[in-house]
Amino acid sequence: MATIFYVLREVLKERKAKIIGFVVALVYFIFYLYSIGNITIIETQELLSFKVLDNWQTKIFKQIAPFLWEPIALLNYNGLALLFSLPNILLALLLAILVFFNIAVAVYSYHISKICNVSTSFKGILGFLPSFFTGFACCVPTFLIALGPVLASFTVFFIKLRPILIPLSLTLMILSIVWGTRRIPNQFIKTFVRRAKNET
Amino acid sequence: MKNKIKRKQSDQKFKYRYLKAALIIFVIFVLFYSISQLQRKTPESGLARIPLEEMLEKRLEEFANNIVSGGPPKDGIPSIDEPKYVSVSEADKFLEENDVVFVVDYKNNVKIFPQKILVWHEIVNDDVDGEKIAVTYCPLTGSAIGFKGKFNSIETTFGTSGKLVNSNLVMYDRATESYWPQILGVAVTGSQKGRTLEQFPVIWTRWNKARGKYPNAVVLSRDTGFIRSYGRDPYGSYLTTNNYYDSGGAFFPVMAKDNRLEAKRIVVGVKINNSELAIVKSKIAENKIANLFIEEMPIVVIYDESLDTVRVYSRKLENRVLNFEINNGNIVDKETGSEWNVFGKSVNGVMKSKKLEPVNSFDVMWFAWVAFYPQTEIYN
Repeated sequence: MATIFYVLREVLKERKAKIIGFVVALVYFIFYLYSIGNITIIETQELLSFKVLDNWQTKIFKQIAPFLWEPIALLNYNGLALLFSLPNILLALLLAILVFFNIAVAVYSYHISKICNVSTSFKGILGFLPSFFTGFACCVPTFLIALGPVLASFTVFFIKLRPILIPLSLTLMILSIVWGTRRIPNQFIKTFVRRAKNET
Repeated sequence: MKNKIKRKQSDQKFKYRYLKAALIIFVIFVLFYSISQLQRKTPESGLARIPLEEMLEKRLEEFANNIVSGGPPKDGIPSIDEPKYVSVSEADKFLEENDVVFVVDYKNNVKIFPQKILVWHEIVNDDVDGEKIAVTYCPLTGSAIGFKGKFNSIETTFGTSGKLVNSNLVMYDRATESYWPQILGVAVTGSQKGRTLEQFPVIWTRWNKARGKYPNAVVLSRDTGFIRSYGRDPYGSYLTTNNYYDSGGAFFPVMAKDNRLEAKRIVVGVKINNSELAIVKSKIAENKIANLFIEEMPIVVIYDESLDTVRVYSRKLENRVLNFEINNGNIVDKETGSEWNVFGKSVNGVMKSKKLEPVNSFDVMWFAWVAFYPQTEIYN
């Protein structure tokens, strides 16, 4: 397990891995908030506005669906709005951090694969996908509205599945990081450990 | 070399474990889903007519057994409990000409509830002259119904249970926690099981019509105590076509299906005792007036062009049954030749100042009405 930290430490030293990881994580962060309706378009005549609910203290941790919390503030710029919910932002950040490490490790592995003959795989990154299906529009999962009411029983099935989507995303992405770091050849890891010890 | 092979084997082993875990999760959910489907009973055919008490007992059980989770938890869709209102001119700033609104004309108080706000809350708990009322709207079944917040000498407000039956909102009352499907208006679980809520009319119309007809009304404000993107309807739009509101089927399973009409066709549902009637709204808009019977009760259905709505009244007045027709653009009864307005009040002739008894009715999507009342008759 300790080797994972040595590998991640090394990965964070790689500028390219960091930049690509950050860009993808940022895009993911925005898309996640959009998918749960916290970044949205609103009807307004104001160019710039910010509003906080009077009773925000009572609503800040109020859940409105599994892994979705009540927004307590609204930041609007010309109709583009951020509905601010602290738990939603924290969850989005946690997921984005995992995306960042997944991408950074994948980029780093790819970099190493060019030096020595190591196979690389990016499939694990797909672990973020379940988290995109967590948005709820009142009664119905948002993505089902987009698809249309194709199969009523599927909606019921999906709603039963809904509470595990975020834990599934978190598990898959953590496993993917572990898996990605284990693909790095031993001789590299030994070097990382030695370097870390010298630095300390 | 040995290390490399060992590493490869370990990698494969880890990969295998990873896939195995994913497979187990998948199998568990397939099993869970199959069991839940086996437990569900969804009769597709209508029921034969049976006495009210027996029907209630049997049907209420069926409704209760067919309740499904809509996803959000209890009060996950928050009701508006402290509604604030603005003037018509103020509301004009955030409402479009053709936005759907619900008008409540109750005890000489006219209140307008924009659909674009209610789609996010589904229930508004309000007070009119000290009387608790709830204006409810279910976007999935296109039904807006008013209920009085008093039953069995209990005064209460309502919340969303997070459950649905026949795709329709299941409310709960905060005093007894009984479940009340909105279209049914009858408790299907809890201590109030079998009890019916008293309704009052909610008129489904458009903003430009409501604004013209009721310039002194008050309009529900967007200051609801919650933050939502009120300009955006998550399900579709009543201003365009080819979306949830006018095409396709239901998102959730229904207890009965009937192809006599398209699933999303708007009907005006009328229920009297053990009989139900679905009046196709577009048909009555075409014919303007219809003299009908429901459970041997004579009713008149009048199209109110000023609000693009349908009003239903009893035709029985002082031991006499009246028949209505449109004569030179006026509503006239054939028996006395008296003239009537769309509010069921005689404005001219020997019946002047007499009033017809209103009959509860509401707009609803056909699939939902027939899912609750499979034996319904249709006026088309």
